[in-house]
Amino acid sequence: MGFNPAVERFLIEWALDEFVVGHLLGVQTFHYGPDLEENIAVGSISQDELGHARMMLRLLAEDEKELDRVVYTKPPEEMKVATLAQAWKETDWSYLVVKSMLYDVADQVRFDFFVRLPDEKLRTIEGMMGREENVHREHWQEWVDILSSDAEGRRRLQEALDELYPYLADFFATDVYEEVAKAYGMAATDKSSLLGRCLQQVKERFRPYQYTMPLADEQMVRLLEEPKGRAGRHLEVFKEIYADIHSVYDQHPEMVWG
Amino acid sequence: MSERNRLQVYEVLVQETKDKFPVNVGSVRAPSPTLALQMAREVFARRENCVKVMVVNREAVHVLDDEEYLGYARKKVFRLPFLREREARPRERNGKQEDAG
Repeated sequence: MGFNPAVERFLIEWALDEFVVGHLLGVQTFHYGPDLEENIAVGSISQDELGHARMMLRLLAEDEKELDRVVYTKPPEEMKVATLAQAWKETDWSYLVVKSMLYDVADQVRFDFFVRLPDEKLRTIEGMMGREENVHREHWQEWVDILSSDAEGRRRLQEALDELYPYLADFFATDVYEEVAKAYGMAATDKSSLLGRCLQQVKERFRPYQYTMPLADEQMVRLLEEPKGRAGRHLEVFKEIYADIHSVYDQHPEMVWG
Repeated sequence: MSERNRLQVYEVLVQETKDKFPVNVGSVRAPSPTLALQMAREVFARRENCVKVMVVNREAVHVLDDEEYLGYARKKVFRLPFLREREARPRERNGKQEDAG
């Protein structure tokens, strides 16, 4: 639809993050939560995220096969998926809660950047996405609160936080924000200020339960210069995710589904 | 398990349109009212539109379920607000006469 290449890259990076997050939430919907109701809620969040990926890619291409090509024909190193989006442990509820909370807070910072872009074509998707993301954040915050209500829960959340928190730097370790701001003639938006905003919001959400952030803000800013997923250098588990995502598509690449 | 993460049953009420009363459509188990609302929305209203979803902790509901007592209503013909005598007569259903109502 005639977007600047930087805006196109921004939307593709975002869509691939959402696609992987949605895919992972849907992989084991049947035994995530403590109850059927929670599993259904997680399944629904998964579908919301996949829907967001689709809405973004729809801005770039009308044709179904064109959408497929964006997601399914890239080799792993060309999929600039945030490390946080691909972080995954089978059947670890606390890990999933922390990952989802961190991802959704970082995603909110990205969304806030997105809604400031002066482009009417982008306005069509923000209403539904914004509302659904509010519900997702409320959902995961509620679980942080619930799991923090006893010592065992706090121990598990702290463990997950220690592993996942540094990945927030990789989330913003891309020049795409600056390029997009430049394309629209907006004031410079550097990645360290976006990361700073994100860290502040994360700390506000975890502070009431006295969790310790494993790295100081300055250390996090330094990590911006060592992108992982954003540079196509993925976690070991991404091989499995990539194979899983491709398992159906690769059998009939020309099929138009639905 | 602390009180905070104890799963509790919430009755779910859904109001389809603004001109209808909310109707009790079922229940969910959830560890908090906020999650109960989210789960209620997903379980009972994810495929149908509505204007309101409510949850009530089942422990907060006062119940009257004496079926015999509650079954008297139709027997009290003198209370029925029918204007014509014909309507107040016992109803016939499947060839059998029923009590008034």
